Amino acid sequence: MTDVVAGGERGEIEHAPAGTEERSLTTSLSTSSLAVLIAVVVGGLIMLFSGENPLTAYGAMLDGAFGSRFALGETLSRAAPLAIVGYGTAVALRAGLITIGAQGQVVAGAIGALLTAQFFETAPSAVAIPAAAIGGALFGMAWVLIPAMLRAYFSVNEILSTLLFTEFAALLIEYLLNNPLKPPTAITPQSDPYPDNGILGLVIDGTRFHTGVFAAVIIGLAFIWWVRSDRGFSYDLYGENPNLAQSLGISSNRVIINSLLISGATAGLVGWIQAAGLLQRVYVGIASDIGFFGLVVAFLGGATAGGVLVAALLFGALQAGGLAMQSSEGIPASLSDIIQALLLLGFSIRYAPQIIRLTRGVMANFTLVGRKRR
Amino acid sequence: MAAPYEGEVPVSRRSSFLFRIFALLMVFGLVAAGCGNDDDSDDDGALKVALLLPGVRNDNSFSQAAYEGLRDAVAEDGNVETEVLEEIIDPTDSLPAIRDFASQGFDLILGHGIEYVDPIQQLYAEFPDVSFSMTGGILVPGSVTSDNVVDWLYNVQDMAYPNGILAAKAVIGDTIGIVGGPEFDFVKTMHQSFRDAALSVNPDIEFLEGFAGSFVDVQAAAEVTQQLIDQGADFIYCSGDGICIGAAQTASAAGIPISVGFGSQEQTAPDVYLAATVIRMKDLYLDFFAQVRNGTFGTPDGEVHAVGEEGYAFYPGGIFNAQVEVLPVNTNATVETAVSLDELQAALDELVASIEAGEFSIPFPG
Amino acid sequence: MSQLLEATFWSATVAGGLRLATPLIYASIGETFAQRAGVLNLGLEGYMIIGALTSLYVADPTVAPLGFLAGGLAGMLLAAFMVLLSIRLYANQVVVGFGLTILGIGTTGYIFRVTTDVGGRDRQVSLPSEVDIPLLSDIPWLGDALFGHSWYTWLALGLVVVTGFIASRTIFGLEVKAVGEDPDAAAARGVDVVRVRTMATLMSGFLGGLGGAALMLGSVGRFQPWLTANRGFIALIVIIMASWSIWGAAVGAFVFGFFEALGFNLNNVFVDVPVEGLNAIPFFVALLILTASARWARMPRGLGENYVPTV
Repeated sequence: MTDVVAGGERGEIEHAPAGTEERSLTTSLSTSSLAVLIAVVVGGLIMLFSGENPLTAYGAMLDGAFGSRFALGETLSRAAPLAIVGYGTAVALRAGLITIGAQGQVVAGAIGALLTAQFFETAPSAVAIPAAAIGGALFGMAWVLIPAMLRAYFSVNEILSTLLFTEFAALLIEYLLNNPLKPPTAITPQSDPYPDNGILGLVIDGTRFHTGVFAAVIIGLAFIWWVRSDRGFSYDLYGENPNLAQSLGISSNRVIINSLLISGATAGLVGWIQAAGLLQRVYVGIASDIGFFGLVVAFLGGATAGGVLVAALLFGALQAGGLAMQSSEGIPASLSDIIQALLLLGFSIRYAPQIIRLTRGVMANFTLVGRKRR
Repeated sequence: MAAPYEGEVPVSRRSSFLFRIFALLMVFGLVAAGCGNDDDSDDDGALKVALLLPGVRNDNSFSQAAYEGLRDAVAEDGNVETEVLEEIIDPTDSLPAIRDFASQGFDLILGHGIEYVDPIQQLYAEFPDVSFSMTGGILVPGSVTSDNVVDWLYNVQDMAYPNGILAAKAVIGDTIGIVGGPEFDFVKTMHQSFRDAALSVNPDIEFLEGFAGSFVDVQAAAEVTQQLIDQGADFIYCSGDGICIGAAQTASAAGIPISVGFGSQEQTAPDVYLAATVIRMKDLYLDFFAQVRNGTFGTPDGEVHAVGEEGYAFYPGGIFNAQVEVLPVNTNATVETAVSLDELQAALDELVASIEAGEFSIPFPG
Repeated sequence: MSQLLEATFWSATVAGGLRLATPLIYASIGETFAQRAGVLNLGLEGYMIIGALTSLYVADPTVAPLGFLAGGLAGMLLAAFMVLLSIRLYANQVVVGFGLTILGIGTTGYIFRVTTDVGGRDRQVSLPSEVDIPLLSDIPWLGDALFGHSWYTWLALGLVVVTGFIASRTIFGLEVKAVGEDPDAAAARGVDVVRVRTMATLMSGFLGGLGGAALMLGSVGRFQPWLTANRGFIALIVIIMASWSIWGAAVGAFVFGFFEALGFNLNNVFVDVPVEGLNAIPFFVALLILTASARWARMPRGLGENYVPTV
């Protein structure tokens, strides 16, 4: 069923069943725009029914996402972490692994960055900033190391183990911020301010567009390089057809551990960016829902460089706009969530065919694991 | 092996479709921004006040207290326009939300939660014409007040101490179970103040304690309460928020009396609920309205003062200034108590009277 | 420490575990069907919370059983989106699942907000009494631990038997397994893949909704936004931990509930251990079980993969 096509375009995963693609694409192209339109209309009707003005509400949403310098800064500073997590998750997805633990790795990365920054509190910024970035990435990697080993050596399902480690991270940060990392006077969980010498400066004053956003560009370029590199190709091959990859001498354990470690490192980096750039303090809720939406971004973007970027920008805009809808139009948070969820569901259709191919690769890998074990 | 590209859209075309959607959204946004700004010139003299809440306005707890306070203050004042923003608890969201209000021309922004201290600190200088009220800035080292920033906080111990007096007098037996949400410092402080109060009435009382782990997990709170009752608790104190619904339901099913911090559970458990403490914000908000109008809002000298300095504009709230109210004992309660409901009410009245008269102030535990 | 030697400590913990497990049992047996059929339903949290709210809003003016049923139907309604978007339109299951979870939490939060006046009466039901089983409830230790439960718990255990039978002894159960393992092969043998997956998904929505309803009507009785507090995701943990077995899911739910209750209880035994550490116990146990059972765990091969008919 899953044909591996040697010499196919490397940027894409090519193993679509013949015939189905044509059909699903034509359906998809016509239904996709329609689906988003339906989502917009349904959301509008719900607002109308609730006594809100859908036109001004959608206007506020667009305004809050693109309408001013500050708004654009919001969209970018929300899109960047999503894109970075998306790229890391995409590396794992392409190798046939679903990690949904980015959320916990972001938390671990934030803790790691804060601890490193506090250690280098008196060092020059040129030392403190990269050190904290590395600290964040290492903590993110550490947080995925056990699930990666368990998956490689004991075939333990990584969907679940990474989810469990997300729970552990949530409990750990709550403990740390309630006890050792809490300033003595504070009565709610939060850290001391992030050390000044490690702060990522603003690119544009009066916005939250900070230099950490550029990390997304770097990671994006690194992702493109990875996809085109020989090693990246062999990982893709493993993701598509583990049997074939192994017969070609690609080590299964190495692919699993490395690709999960890469995803952990990028998520950890995001923890650093949020702590050192956006919030400049560590809170229990530092990860927002970046880890989960980063996964959605990776799936929506079909685990490709351009797709992840667009999906991340779309989500950054959706979140910035969703908040503006609340503050400018007085729309309750829950209603804004409904609108955002409807749009997400609408967009999910647009990307259907790419994702079908992707999941086929992911699942082919599981198939092998299952077979091997019996 | 099938032809791989059959029916496939080339990569470039696929992305360009996406980019077109994206570009379209950009254009929409710029257009909306261009014609959407009606520059808040509607000067009808009404004060524009915005309130930010971490929870929903009907959470029967901390957020509802501020919502009701503002509602009542506005009703009394008559010339105030309000906007209430609920469920802003993600630290990423609080700054843009407050900034949006500030740039919409609101006169006063009430940040009812410690999550709004950092954003207000970052924004107040950029918006000198907007007045900001923080909650708990005094607990965040380095925060400042100025001619447009003040700080408010309730006495945490006042929310728990009266419950401790009530519990020690009402309990039949000698074991009291304490139920909390997550093990945060202010929750632990409330529990300690509760213990101090109960021990001041009866030094032989023993305590059991349980935490549901979050402020939303009602089922966990119900289970924690059940476990405390199974271990011998004869009275339940729940320190707050939505989870107390679970504690009250379980106490009601077991026929054990309960008292609550941050809001009544009379509706949930009319048979066993005895009393609760609540926050009352109305008078403070009326003060703020007046100060903003006559220009006296902020630090007394109009200068910037950090926590700990003379001149830091801090408004404490507590039983002493009626910002913490001990709700009357539920006279419909049918649960058996060691002393009569009237005697319980008398004990609470006595405590409140001695605080109001300045004879007693509830000690901060530890 | 002496509490640990008391029989009542353990009977209370076992009883608590069963209470905490009840909603998880409903949700996880339903989801097991969906996943066996190849549908990774991350919308479970959404089904549960919409079931919880609906059950309350129907039971408040009428009776609990009616509310319970309505909760199931509401979950099924949300699951219909999963059918439409993923099974019919091939949208990615993970994305749609997350979307439905947000949609469920948002919708219930919004309905609760607009239907409840500040300071007014919230909708509320009183909790059910324990079903007293003659003789069994009177057994000294076991009676307290196992037999002092509401009918929601008993129904959950009954459903385990019924669905366990359906899964392994009926044509439908075999079809579910077939379309989850290899949809193309199943289709070649004349199984209507879309129909079977649709039914399994709707079943998962219905049972997820019942789980939320059992949580609401059985142990909470009044609504708060997002009161399911991640229980939908815990049900997912239980399913994978139980290697996609119906009976295993029931046992797994109980194990999880037991260790959660134990964590609560140990707070008064080990006073110095932070609560966060005690709350990590059930997740840690889940990790151990997962690791130990990985050797014979077998994931449905078609899980997460959309079926596109090749006609």
